[in-house]
Amino acid sequence: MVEAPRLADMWNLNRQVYALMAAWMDVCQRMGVYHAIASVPWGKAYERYSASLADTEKEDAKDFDWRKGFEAWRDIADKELISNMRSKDFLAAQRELLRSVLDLRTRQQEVADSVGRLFGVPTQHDLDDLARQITELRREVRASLRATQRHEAEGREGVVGQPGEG
Amino acid sequence: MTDPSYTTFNTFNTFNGFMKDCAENFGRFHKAADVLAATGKVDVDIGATPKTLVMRRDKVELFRYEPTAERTVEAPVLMVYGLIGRYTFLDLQPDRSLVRSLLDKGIDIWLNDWGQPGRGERWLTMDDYVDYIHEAVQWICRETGHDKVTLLGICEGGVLATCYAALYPEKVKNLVLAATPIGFHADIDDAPAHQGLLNTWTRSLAPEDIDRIIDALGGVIPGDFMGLIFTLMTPMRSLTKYNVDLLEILGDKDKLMNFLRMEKWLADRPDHPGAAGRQWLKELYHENRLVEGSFELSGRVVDLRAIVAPVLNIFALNDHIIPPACSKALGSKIGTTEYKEIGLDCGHVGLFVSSKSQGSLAEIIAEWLKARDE
Repeated sequence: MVEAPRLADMWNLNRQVYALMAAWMDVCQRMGVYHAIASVPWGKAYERYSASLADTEKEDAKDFDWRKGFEAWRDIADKELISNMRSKDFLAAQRELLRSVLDLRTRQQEVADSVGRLFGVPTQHDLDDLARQITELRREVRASLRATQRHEAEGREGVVGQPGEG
Repeated sequence: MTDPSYTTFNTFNTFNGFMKDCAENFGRFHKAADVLAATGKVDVDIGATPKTLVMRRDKVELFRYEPTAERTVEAPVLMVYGLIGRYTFLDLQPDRSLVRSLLDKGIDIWLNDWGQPGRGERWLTMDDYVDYIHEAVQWICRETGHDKVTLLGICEGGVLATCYAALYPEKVKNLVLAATPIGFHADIDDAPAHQGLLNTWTRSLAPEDIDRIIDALGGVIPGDFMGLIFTLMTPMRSLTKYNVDLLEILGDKDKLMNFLRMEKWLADRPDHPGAAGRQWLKELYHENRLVEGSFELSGRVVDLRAIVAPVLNIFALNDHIIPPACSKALGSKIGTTEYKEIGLDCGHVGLFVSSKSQGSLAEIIAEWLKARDE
């Protein structure tokens, strides 16, 4: 399909805002899927915990206090949660949620950059370019210092090594 | 199966015990409020062991710690921390400080403080950080008159130290590593469920996802983002930390202060430079290039077989962040024949700050260095 040419300065901000709204809706959807998967281990933990209480021996029941009960609950829930966090479904849901959130963040930044440009405010890209130049400059300075120190060291060794000197 | 009458008794007993505890906890709350009111900034000071700034390059500062005992090991030791969290973890409080423990054993301790990297440092790579280490090593050699230094690398700092030892073997007298990952895929077949979640999660992402994380979040891996990931790795501990667990320590001033110091360190989590983060996650966590022999820094391959200095590799057997197998992977890859590995029965954090490991880690390191100090 051939796209008709778009004038770069028309409706750009509107398109970006629309993309931002779409990204937000995507996040909401992915969040729902994530929560559904992340909530599964709680039910399993409850089942296991209930079973462990039902199996409590008579002697243990007498000494039972809320701390021991809580520790048992914590241990079971921890194992179920960690097991779930390794499952394929969880990893997929987490990955998709992360992608949608990053997409949202990127769209937010695009809108912010567009608005910034309208008012002549330097954008993140401008600052990153500057930071890159400074970093490269610093690398050159460090390399230059190392080369100077190496030459000085070689020079000292050369002077020491000259015949007739102690 | 339990008799129903015991279930009723059990429930009443539990409720009774809970109400009794609630009454006791009111007293604790009052006591804790008094402690917190009396706590000023100074009392929650971390990283307070005296040291002198000897060199600054960009945001990186080289410090020399003030000695506290007669020197027993002549070779200077440069501590290399990572870019995740700050070095103050090694010097949390006087009785939980690897730095102080080593100083008390007569070790000459130096430290590279990476500062607070931000978006301005997004383009710094692991190559740059190894360069900073080289500059520090040369400075130390000039100041002390030694040709070589001992490197003590912790976690990601251990990887940087290992790379340095491979690229500049002539400058490294000994290499001591603590909780350092070398084989980033070693956990795949050999780790309990609670260990290596970070490895699993990172491997579940595509390389493009890593790039998007860094590009979308300001060219860095934000400290908050990393903190959230670590929190998720210990779900129930994280959920109960500020309520049930806090109740247990509220009445004890020392324990409360320990807690506050740890919280202060946790809150001070700088951003991880993005370019270095890409290398860390893609080339190491994803591609495992270090053990594959294809990891390059400054145009040179980091060949682990070039490490000829004696190596002491310490790891935590219950480490949920760096599975022991990932640390142990170093043993079969290096060139030196003098290699020793020690697994301590603790976790990643506990290796440095638990009361159980205090003294033993410093003792192990100091004795090992003394035996090799000529």
